[in-house]
Amino acid sequence: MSETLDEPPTKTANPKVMRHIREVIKDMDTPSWVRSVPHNFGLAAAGSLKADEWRTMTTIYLPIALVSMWGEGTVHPSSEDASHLRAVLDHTMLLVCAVMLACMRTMTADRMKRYLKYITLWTSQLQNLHPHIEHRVNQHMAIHIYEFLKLFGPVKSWWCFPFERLIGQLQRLPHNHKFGMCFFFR
Amino acid sequence: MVNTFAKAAKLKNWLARPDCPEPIRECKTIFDKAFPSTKPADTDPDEIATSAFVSTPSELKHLLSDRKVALRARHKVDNVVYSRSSTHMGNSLVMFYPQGQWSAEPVPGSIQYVIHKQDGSVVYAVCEQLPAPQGSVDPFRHYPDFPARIYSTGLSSKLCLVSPQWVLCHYGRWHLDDKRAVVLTLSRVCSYLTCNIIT
Repeated sequence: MSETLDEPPTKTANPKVMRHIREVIKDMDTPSWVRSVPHNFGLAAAGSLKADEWRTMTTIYLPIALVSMWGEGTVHPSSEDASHLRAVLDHTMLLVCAVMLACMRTMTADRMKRYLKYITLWTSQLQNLHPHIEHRVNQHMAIHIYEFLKLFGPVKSWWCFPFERLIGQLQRLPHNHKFGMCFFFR
Repeated sequence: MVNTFAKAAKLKNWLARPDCPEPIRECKTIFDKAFPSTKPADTDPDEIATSAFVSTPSELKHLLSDRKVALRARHKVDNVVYSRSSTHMGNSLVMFYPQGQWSAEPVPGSIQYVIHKQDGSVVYAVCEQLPAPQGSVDPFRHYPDFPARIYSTGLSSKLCLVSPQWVLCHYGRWHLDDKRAVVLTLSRVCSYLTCNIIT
């Protein structure tokens, strides 16, 4: 059992998978309000993604790419590969569904419960499928989002994107790098 | 966070006042960049010159009784832009309630014409996305909270009229292969598939 888990039959994030994800990003028709993500996602030149880009990836491109590769009806070299990749996909889709629900602009008791169900399932199954990954504080915090949804409503009204934007604007303002005697220029 | 927003709003209000002290006013340059003022509303974007009205195209004559219509590239509703497919494919993909029946399930379609009538109303001529080929597997049915479905890559050859009020949202489309396309509903309010798929 442990041998199977330690050595998965197929490496999930291989170059072929990354190429397929990039193809989905390139070829998908999306409205202009959907923020763009790096077309060279996964390559060093793309740099690290920002939070909003991760949200777009998680709610649009990644699930479509992964389901089309590993979902029902796809063909794999062996049945072990197929079942392992399907298990990884189903597990990843728990997180995708949790993010989809958490990002809704309207919130209901039912959505909150489903969010909690998805995020706790995803967290509890993480080490079964990825034994080398350790639990992190973020995963614990993600479970508390359920309480914040109950207290404050949809995340759009209390998420930190407005502050992130403000920080970005302030960072882009030219200044003289002298703290305490700072001058800003247009 | 609420306090910060409230303080920023008060500051913006103060900076906009004519009796704002001059030293504070000098800081306005920074604040204009940090908290940009909202743009004024467009000056009646729906106003159309009389010369823009032309004879109704032959492919629309069976749908419209108007002798003359203006064909537009795009139409803005609540700050969301909808376009004809030849202008922007992504902006033309809409989920809409057929015949405005809110109880029905929304269907995907691509806007082919944005029609401005002489009475000032706007209507879209839409080709529906055809259903998935018989017997095709929909791998997304296992994930009810991810609102994607498999459809055909083809569009109906028949146009139908859709009022902007019948439109639910845009959808994203990716061609899985030559025959099947993934249609992802991009509504951030309604995940209509949830109630129709058995978990």
